[in-house]
Amino acid sequence: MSVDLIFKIAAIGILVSVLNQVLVRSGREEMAMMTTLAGLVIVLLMVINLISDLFASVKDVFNLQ
Amino acid sequence: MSMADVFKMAGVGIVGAVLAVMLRKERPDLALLVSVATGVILFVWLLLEIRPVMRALEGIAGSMEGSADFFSVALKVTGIALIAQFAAQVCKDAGEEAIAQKIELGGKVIMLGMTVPLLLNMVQLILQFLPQS
Repeated sequence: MSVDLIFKIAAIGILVSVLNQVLVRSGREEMAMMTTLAGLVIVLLMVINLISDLFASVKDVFNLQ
Repeated sequence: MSMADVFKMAGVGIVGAVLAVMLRKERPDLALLVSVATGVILFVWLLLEIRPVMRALEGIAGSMEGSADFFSVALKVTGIALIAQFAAQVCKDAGEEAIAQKIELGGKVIMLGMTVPLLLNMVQLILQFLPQS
């Protein structure tokens, strides 16, 4: 369980919000929307992997399976 | 669970919270994901710590002839409660109280379903002691 995952997610979040601002200012709203979605999908995938690890370890500890 | 771990956990939690708050204004969805990730990391960490304790308790319960299956049901119910509580708390953080209630209700129903057979054979156990009128 790597703690740096939190920093990665936060970094992606900050990057996406900055990129969003830049793109909106330069007039390309749809590009901003695309980068926001891309960032969200990446972060969601990482979190879903994390949650599947959590469920696996809960199953293991409480032998739910 | 050494002493230093509690400081690590506190540190990770605080950093996660600060990052989540930092993201909240611009990207509330990513902020939620940061807090969920922090929660999951801390949760997995303490699960790894508690694993040997659970195995030891299981060993002790196994040695007593009657209580092995009682303890395994208790263990399962605890696991279900933990997961339901975790999911409900994430939904509450996201502001979705209704979904959180449904998850908790679902957890309770599952737990009830698991404990009913236990209740039955406990009642039979008690009836054996009572003098047959």
